[in-house]
Amino acid sequence: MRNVLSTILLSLVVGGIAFAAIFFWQKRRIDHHHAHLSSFDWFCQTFDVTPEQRVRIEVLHREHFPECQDHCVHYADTRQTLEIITRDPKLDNSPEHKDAARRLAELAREADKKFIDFIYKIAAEMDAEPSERYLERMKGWLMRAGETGGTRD
Amino acid sequence: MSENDYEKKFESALESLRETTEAGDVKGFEHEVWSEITHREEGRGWRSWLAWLQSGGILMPAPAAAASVLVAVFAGASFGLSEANAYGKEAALALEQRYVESIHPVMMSASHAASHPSH
Repeated sequence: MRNVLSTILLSLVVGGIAFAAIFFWQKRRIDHHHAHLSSFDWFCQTFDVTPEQRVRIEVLHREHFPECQDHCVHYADTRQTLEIITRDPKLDNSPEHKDAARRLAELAREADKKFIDFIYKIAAEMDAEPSERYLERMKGWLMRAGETGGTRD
Repeated sequence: MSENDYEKKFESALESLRETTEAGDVKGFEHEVWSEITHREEGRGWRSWLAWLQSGGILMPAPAAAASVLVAVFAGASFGLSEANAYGKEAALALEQRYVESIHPVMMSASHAASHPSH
């Protein structure tokens, strides 16, 4: 026969130790795995990209990066201009203000279009099932950016 | 006022005084008794709990105690696994976000602005 109170205390302690041991063991494994993983590696692992597909897709990514970075810089500059104009009460609703806002919205739309073209190019290189998953995930990001970004105003 | 009337009034006043005094005494007495009972009950409450704990409380069979410890180990391990799973999903989501930011110009710009707020 055992005391209920001491049994409960022992169970809590042992359960806590089991939780901590499993959680920190798994966390260490995950941290170690992610420490050596680039975002491109993550993409290849998540969407079951074969080594042959990886070579072709990597080329597409390399081609896309400079154009994407140029667009990013252009977008950032336009947004900064718009912010400066917005802060100036004299320029509120001025033609410059409207022009900057229109230009920023255009750039955001172009960015979305480039993104969509690119993900379809990538999906075309992948197997059917992972390519569908990939498109779904990427479209999810596009929708979230549209809902929260406020760049398409 | 006749002597008879005077005696009647005296009697009724005495009766009324007696009643008041008796009622007051009973109330005081009751109050003391209940206070004492409450005091004793309180004392007996925690003392009896202490005595119960010192004596070992409720006893359970050894197999039931072992099963309880096993269940706790299983529950702790399951909870640890589920929490680690959530942590892994969060880490994967961070990588996914980095990937998307590397291929979408506006998201790249937003990420750059967040990491370099002075620009």
